[in-house]
Amino acid sequence: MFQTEDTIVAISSPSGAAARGIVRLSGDYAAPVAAQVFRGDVPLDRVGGFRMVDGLVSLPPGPMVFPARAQVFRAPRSYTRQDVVELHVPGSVEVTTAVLAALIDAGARQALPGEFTARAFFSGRLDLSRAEAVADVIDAADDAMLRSASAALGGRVHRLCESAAARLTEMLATVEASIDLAGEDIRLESPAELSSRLQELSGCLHRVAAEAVDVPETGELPHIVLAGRPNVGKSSLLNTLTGTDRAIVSALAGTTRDVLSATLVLGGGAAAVLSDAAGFAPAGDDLSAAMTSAARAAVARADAVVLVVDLSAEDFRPDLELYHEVRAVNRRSPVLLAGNKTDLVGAGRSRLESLAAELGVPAVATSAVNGEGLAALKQHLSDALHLTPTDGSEHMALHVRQKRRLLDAASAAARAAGLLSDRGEVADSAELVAVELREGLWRLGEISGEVVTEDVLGNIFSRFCVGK
Amino acid sequence: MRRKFDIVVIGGGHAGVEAARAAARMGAATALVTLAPETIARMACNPAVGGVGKGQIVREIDALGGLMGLAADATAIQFRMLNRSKGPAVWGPRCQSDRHAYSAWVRKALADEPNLTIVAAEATELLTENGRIVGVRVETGGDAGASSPAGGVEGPPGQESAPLDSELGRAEKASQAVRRQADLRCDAVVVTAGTFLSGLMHIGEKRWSGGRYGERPANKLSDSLRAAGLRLERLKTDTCPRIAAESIDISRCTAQQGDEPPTPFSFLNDTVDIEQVHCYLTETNEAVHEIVRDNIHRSPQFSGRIETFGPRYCPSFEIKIVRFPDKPSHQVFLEPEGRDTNWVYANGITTSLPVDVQERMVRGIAGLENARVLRWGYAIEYDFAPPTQLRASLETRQIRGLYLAGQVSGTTGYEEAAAQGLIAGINAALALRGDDPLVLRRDQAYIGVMIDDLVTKGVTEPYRMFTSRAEHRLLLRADNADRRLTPVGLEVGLVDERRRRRYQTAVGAVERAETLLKSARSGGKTPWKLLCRPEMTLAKAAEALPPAAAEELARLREEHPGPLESLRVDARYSGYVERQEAELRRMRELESRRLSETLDYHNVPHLRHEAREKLSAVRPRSLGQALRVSGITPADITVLAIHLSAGGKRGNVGSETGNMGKM
Repeated sequence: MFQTEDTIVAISSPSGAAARGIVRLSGDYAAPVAAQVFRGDVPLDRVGGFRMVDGLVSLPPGPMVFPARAQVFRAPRSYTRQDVVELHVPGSVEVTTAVLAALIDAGARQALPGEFTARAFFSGRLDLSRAEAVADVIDAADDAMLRSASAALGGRVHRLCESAAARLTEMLATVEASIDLAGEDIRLESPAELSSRLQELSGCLHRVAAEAVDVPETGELPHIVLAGRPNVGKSSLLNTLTGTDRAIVSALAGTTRDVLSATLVLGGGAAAVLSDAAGFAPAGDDLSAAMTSAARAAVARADAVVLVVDLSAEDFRPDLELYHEVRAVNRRSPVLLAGNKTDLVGAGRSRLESLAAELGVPAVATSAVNGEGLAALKQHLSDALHLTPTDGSEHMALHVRQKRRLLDAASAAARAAGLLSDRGEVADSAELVAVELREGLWRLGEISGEVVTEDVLGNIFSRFCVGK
Repeated sequence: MRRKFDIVVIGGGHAGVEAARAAARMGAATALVTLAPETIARMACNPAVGGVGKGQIVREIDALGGLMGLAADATAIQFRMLNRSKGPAVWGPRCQSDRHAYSAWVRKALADEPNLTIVAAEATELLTENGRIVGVRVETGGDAGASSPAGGVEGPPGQESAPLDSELGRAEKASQAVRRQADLRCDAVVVTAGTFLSGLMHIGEKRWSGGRYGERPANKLSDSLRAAGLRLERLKTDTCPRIAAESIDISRCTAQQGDEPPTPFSFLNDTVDIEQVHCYLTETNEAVHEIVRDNIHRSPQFSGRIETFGPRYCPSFEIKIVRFPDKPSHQVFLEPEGRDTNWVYANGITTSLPVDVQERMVRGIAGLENARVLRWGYAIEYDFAPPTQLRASLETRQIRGLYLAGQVSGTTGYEEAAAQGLIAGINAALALRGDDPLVLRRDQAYIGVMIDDLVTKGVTEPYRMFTSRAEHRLLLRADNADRRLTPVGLEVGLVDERRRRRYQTAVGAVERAETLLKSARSGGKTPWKLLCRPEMTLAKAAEALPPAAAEELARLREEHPGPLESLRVDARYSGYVERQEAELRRMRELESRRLSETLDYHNVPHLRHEAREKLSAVRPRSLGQALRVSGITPADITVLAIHLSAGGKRGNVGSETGNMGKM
């Protein structure tokens, strides 16, 4: 059981060379603790949620001072439903480690692996299977697992448990009716029928568990980077593309290695990490300069780049230059052209097509406002990354824990089937069959972290005419 | 007359008598206020005690030192063990009772209690000071007797009258026409008002106010409960027509015999020596259903005159016909109401259809062609207090010293009512002594399951016990209720010397036998392990014992057949119980983590909004109970657990440890 009372801190950018370092705090004292290290234009204590503050980090004993940016999320509108502060600092291991140490000195506790996600779970933001799936998307290793991992985001494991639980509940109702409605004139399924249905359910759960792909501890999703000049609509595109599940978006804001990233669920159950390489285009102040290098690094390691252009712009020449910048740092990955803001400029398509032809890359006209072209963009990305599943494999990705629970539930159902198999009446072993069925329900409930509601009595009364 | 008591119990039904007797036996000067002392312990519905789940509750009441099991044994006319063909965990003892004898037996038992005074009066007002009970205002005289429905419906049958036990009662006799008021001072009140609070009765298009058939309602107490801050809602229940025995053609019915030998309820009785009577089974048919369908618009339940909910498991006959139209016939059990009465209860056709429809309906049933109906079925709507307003002690959260029990808390059934009455009476008496309340756990008693369900989840229909409500059913058996609860009864001081001795002898025999069964091995297995098999008997298992041990076991079996059989059942289920051990421990651990009643959930960090609202409404006493509140997730419990272990630092808990002692 994780402690969730105190304020935790962790470096959340990847170890090794990274463009931008992020150190994240969560807890009631996130802002005051951060304020001891970071001095912004506005005191952090007084900053509301979803606000960015620019300022300076100063670290003892030097003092070592450098530009930084703080992003503040206020409870409950954050990934952990606690106050969250992220300090964006130049991305060197020395810097992030020193900031981490300073924040621990200031009263934060170093987070355990997965503790941010655990807090999201404990705050009721995610159920267990979704919480695990979030971790999986971050760390997913290969395509097959990815497909299933993102299916779990939509609750596939959860749905499996729900449907198995509904069947167990219905059978339990029959068994309980045979006990509690003694003397009532009701007709029950035969033990043989119940036994074979239980046998089948047990086999199904067993098969799912046996065929499931083991979810390993670490893994990597393909990385897609949105590049483009300021104000071309990268952020809104990122939000719209990934915003179908806001919880997961902010979830990833809390768990990925880059704060401006989110999971992009592509067709066919594939997923990728989508990042907004803000600041790739040159700008004036110190922080932006630092960020520029951060954005460059992101582009450099991207598996695909989406170059976003503003169709309402008069001149595409700056975008052309930017394309060459992108190509300069990343030659291996495909580039897609997204002509944004079609909602503003109906007639911009022909200009987009000629630009695409000039660059020799595919282009999609999009609108983050009305959603136009987004499906096509996803399809292009999916093709470019070869993520489209080939066989539509239905195997689930399960954690060891989930798998064990499924097997437990399958065994309980099998034991119940065994108890019923050679009985003349359900009633003959009813009280023991009920024990097994309840255990099965309990195990299924543990998988999704929710107690499965067993409205057994409701089920009984809707099916049987009782009452003497 | 005496005007000062420790505890006043309002209502003389099955809840009231247990509450009053328990409180009195535990040393409290107790008054039982009832509108009519001759109706004490009346069986208003079917003349039977026990059943599946309910029978276990009667055993539990008995094991704690309550009255119901003894009363049932003394006045039964037929015994049956329901579910005998199933495992012993779900056996349900049940008896048919002589309802007049039952009431008389209980009245006698109460009269023998030195600390108990019966007051014939209507309790009209709760007297409170600073959120505490200080007394009850009662009225006597005036409009005694019920208002009756006009024309076409028989008035209430003659009631046997009993001597009134108090001066107040005598005063009432003397001046029927004059309303007189008196205040009884006390420290605690147990309200067991049954269906009497603003009771409204229905037969077809007719309705009138009443508490039960032929009895007047208690209309003023509802206002007083509301004024005390309690929320009241309405529930509904129905009864069956009663039929004259001599007008039934039993040759067209199937006789149902009792068990031979009968199994008594009380652990104080080894046997009951009675001549058992028969019940008869008949059934309805399509023609009867047609009559109901043709007149369904005249049913108050379908015409909209009754808007409240009745129980799903005990629907009126008209609801069965509408909801299950394909069922060609429904069972009707004809249950005699006693040895010296011709009243027969037609179990299975509860109804509030108009009298002319009931008559045709009854006479369409095989064996009832010439039936003479002595009382028509009726429905009654009444006020109840949603039980989430209660603590697990059955004390209201609004008023210190005010306890509720029975139908007024949203349950149905004599057994459910009696069990709550017993617990309320015990807890009122414990509070008087300054002791912690008795709260039975869900793995300890059906009574614990019931009260936890009531105060945690509330009710949407009258609550009846089903064994499927208990997650540890293999532990909560009729046969081991004494081992589960008699030590508890001893501790609170309700178990008398005779029961204590019997219990200790039984436990001694069980412990000795268990040692013997676990001591020897044959083929690598102890006789105890052999008993896991359902067909294995003690005698057979004993064959694996050395001769001396086998002989001793045989003697124990001879001398203590009941307790030894109960031990065999322990062994039979031991494998399953061991498997649940971890879960049991987890649950007990969660139960032992107390939550303060004054905990401010809105200040518990990270708790979801929904969880804050729901926990604030139910105010669970432990983490375990909190987890059972609907809509509360394990994640919420983790947040709470962390909050508790953090000791509510940063001052966001209020009096975390303050009001813990008395819940």
